[in-house]
Amino acid sequence: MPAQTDPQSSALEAVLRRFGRMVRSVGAKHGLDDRDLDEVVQDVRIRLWRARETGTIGALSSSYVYRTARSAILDLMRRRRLPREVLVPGNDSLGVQLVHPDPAPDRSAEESELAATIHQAVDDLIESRRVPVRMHLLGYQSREIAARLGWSGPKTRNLLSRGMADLRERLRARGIGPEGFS
Amino acid sequence: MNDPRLSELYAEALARRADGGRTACPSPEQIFALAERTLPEAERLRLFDHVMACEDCRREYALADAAVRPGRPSRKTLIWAIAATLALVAGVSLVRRTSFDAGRLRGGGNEVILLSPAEAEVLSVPATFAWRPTSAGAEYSFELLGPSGDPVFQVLTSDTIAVLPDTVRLTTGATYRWGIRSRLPDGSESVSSLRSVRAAPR
Repeated sequence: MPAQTDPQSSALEAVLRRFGRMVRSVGAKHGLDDRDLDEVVQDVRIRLWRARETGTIGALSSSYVYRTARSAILDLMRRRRLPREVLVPGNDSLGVQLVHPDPAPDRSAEESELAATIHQAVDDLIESRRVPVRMHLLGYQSREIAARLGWSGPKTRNLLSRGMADLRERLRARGIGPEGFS
Repeated sequence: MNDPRLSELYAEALARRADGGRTACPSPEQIFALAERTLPEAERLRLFDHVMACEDCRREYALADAAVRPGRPSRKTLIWAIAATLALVAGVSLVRRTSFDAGRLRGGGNEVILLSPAEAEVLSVPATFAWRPTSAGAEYSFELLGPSGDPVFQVLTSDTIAVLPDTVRLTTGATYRWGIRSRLPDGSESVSSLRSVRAAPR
């Protein structure tokens, strides 16, 4: 890595630090593996340094950093989607897992049935309610759901509240009350 | 069953159903397009439906989303800026300032407080909707949502009332919901709760 002796080098490293912090902050919230985030940040770093050394970029812009990050992430996704037999064991945190471990081997049969019933009830919702309900159950806040779906706040809250009410109704119809199966 | 318990069981079901083959998964480019919000709504919903039910896709989406958010201004911000500019240039003739009686206040904190019409009130057009101002310089997006949840009328204004014109056709007896989103010059947003109203017979 070139030494940080000139203002441009310092600026580039400052941009990379900022980018790394923000990506890690968002990544941590979604439970992303540190190795994936490290790989992306490192890949972006290498690409930006190369671009600078070859004169591809004269000044850093957020759009250039973004395009570089986008390209690095797409490459990572494609690599991780390669057939399993060419993957190196232990390098499987994103996209493909060599083995899907039982998520909870000590769960009772009733718990598993309950989980499957909830999953099916969510699947049975109409799409416009199902998607925000899926996101809500995965921990997204209403504001985050609205931002990602491109919906207004009122529309999101409306469809989410109707979706959750519909889900509870469907669960009740399947014999699932506040304490599980009744 | 409370939401955290539902979430826990739902996550367990998703983990059990993980498809290591990924035969039905969207391409990396499609996942990035989701994060960039460049797809039409129907396509976006269809893909999100898969992505949010697929652990592998969800991780990829989260990574794309992590890159998109630090690097670019959001489409929503741009759309808001364009809409605000157009509204200011053209002048929103549907909206004018009037005095009104404060109704039952709802919400608290930074929430936008709705004034009138009240919950479950019967609505006939043209109708006036009112809310309390949040802060100086705020702009407001008024939305009336139909029974399906889709907006039937929207207007952007710096005022604290909006008039529903009589060109808007409401279904007699149907329940509509209205709400306000407030945006400050620094980009921060606050929203109101949703309030229901019923359409009066014509």
